[in-house]
Amino acid sequence: MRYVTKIRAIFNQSFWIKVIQALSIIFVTYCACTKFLEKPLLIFVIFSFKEDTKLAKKRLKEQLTTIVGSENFSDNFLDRLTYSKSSSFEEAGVPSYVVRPRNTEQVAEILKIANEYETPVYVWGRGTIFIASGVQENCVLIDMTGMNNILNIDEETMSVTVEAGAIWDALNTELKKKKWELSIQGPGSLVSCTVGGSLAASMVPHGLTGEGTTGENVLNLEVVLPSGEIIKTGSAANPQGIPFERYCNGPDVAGLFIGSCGTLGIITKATLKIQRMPEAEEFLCYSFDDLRKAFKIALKLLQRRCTRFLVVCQGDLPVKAVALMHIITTGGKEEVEIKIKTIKSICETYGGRKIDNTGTRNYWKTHNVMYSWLRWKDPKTYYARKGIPYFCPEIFGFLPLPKLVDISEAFWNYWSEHETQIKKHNALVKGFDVYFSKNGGYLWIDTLYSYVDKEAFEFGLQVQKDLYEMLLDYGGAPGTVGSGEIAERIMSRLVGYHDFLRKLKKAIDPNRILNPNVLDL
Amino acid sequence: MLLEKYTNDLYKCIRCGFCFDLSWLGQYRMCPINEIKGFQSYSAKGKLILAIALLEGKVEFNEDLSKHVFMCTDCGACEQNCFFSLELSNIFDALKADVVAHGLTMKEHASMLEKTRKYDNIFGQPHEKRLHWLSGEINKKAEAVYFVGCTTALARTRIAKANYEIMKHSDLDFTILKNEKCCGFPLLSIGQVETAKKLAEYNIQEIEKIGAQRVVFSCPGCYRMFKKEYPKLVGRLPFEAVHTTEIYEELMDNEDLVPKKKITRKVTYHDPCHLGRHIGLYEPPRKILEEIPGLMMTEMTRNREYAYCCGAGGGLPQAFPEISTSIAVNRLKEAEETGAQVLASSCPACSSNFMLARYRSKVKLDIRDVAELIVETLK
Repeated sequence: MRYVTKIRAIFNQSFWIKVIQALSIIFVTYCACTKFLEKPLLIFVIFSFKEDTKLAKKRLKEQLTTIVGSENFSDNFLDRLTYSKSSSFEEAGVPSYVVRPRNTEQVAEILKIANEYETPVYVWGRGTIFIASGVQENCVLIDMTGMNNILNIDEETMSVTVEAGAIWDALNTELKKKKWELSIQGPGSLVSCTVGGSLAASMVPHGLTGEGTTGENVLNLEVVLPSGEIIKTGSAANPQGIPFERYCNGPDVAGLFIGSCGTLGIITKATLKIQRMPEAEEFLCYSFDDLRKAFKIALKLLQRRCTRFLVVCQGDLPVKAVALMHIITTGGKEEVEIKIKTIKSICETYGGRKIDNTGTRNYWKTHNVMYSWLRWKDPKTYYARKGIPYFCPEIFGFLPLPKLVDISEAFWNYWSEHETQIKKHNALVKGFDVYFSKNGGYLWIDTLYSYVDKEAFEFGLQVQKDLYEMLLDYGGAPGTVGSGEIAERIMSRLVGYHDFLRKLKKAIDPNRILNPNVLDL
Repeated sequence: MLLEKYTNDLYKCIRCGFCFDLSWLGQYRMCPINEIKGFQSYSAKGKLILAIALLEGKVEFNEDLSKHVFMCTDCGACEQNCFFSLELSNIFDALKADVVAHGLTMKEHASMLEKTRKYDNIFGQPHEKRLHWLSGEINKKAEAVYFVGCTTALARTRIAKANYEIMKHSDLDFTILKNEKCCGFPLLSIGQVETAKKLAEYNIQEIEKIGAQRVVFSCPGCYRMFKKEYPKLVGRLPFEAVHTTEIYEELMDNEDLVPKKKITRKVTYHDPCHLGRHIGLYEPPRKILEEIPGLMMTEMTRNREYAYCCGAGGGLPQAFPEISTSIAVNRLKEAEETGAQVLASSCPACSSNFMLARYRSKVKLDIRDVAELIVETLK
């Protein structure tokens, strides 16, 4: 199948490429048969290959420009260079071309052309994720931020359809103007990150406890497959249908693309769940001296489904305690009152100390849902640490509740065991936080190391590797996998599953043009 | 390289992209250049990546880099929302100065420099023309000096006249310099630090001769230059720098300036970047407008510290006129969406660029300086 595609690709190329290739084949066959002109033959083959590549590049550039228009195409080195750095500390390759499509059809055309030239394509939202983007040299990079329209707010199906480049916070703001809101607020970088990118990376959202993962809030997707075909999932698969139900018309195809990190298709549109803005919101904060008690309470609160968001923080706390629990609950006035009574009763029975809830309120209510408020700190002072620049090799993943307690203890033991190196490199625990999901919790371990001290940097990387191994040993499941060494480590543990993904990738993307090597695919 | 001073800051950037959008206000971009150009190299985040690449030797100083660096209005919007509170304006100033130090001044900027050296203004207008709008006494001893500024004196003389009239009407003890020269700000913003410094020294000396305690500015660019940049270039100022809107607010509070005639129009106010984000002066112009009888104020979504730039800063109109006008058109449309009939501002550069944009677009807003509106109420 791969060879058929290759042959087809050859015959799709420009006239002169075909002529050169045809001449090469005839000449090489002749020389091979007659052992004639061995040296000139080699020169000819190299020459024709070079010409072939040069012409192909020129043609690819021309075709991409035709698709998106010259103002949305760039092969300028400086333009391209800026896409080699995402929020990850890992540097990626510099793409050969950057394109900014304005609609789904353009994305589809780009992928068709990429297949023709067997050129890898990487997809870019805002590059705000802390994992490696995987962008390699000699690729086409699709910057999706030009597709950021809010297409339809449908109050009857309680959904909003947006283009993939829409920004979470902008979307939520527009909804709030109409007294609606997203069921989930969006991920950590919701002020700047795109809906499409977050879905592809399966980013964990604020509001995870009550409304589930980002993916759970997706109704339908529009996706461009690596071949350039456009599909709609769920109820929207029916040309007469509209996007409002996900689990219909066969398997949950949308789920295939959520978390796929763009390896199986490019999300171009998404329909998300929305809800009326709540009548009431309440915020509570408790401190604990016993971590097990905090997690016990968390379990009871999860079982009663009475919180919109539940976070337990450890490390660098603003009060003397082992852990801090932030509780956010929303809904109708009476409903919230009942929930608050339940929460207070549970927390106080198990030894929680009710403390100032300003940080909790600020965390949820400030426009950019800043994590710093979980530690009662203003973002402007919390993130802008004075002195040297730090880097934060994050570790994150889902874990069931009992394992969360175990890994907490294991982490602090690990940190104590490495005390000498930690002191030497001035390493810090910025946070060891659990965002509770419906059935467990999402653990974030944020440790800080000097970005400019090579030894400290290497130590940070080693800690990240060790802690990922620890996370996986405890049965953890990272929400976002990405690419690079960490992704390979994660995938190497998931043998059968990873094989299946490989088969799937091969079937959908036989030329491996879309985000190759991401998810180790 | 001046940029080396900011090495730590450059590495602090985690490329969070908070410098792109004003998403908590809706679907609004923050960086005007990025809004027009789209590619992330034309954003604060992109420029910091390029700056790091320069420090690491991955990028060379060349014309293309110069083009990327100078495609910036110096509006300060990126700094306003920087997650890490990085001093982005200072970083980009250093980057511009480094580019210039490598002989990569853009030809349009070189022309600005040449004109300023020859005529003491970036427009290349004869020095005598600066005061052709004025018939009153100049260079007399006074408590205050009205520093008119090149744009006001040569391109927006209506603003100059209006301010002069208001000050006279309010019995302010003020004068105008006979030999006022460019404040140097346009040159500083295109990386020409040395020439800007010479102009600073000259202007301070001229003001000292008058013995004024206060210098009043109607141009936010001049005001920012005196208030924020002169102390960095030449040390502490021997006088106080104030903007006209601060003075008029003070006069109105003391009832020395009382708007009488009604202006029954809906007005929206555009915050000039150099007066707003760079200095933090948002309320005086609004208070003044609210004092005008009959005037109905309405706000654009992006106002005060989140105001969108007019596109006239950073030498952009000279080097990239199309982009500069497109930015102004964007802002005009935003103003028009409020239902206002008048777009008021307190910056001659903003109003000049808006007028040009209005000419090129279908927007029919009346573009007025706050001073012009005040004068209208006095007649």
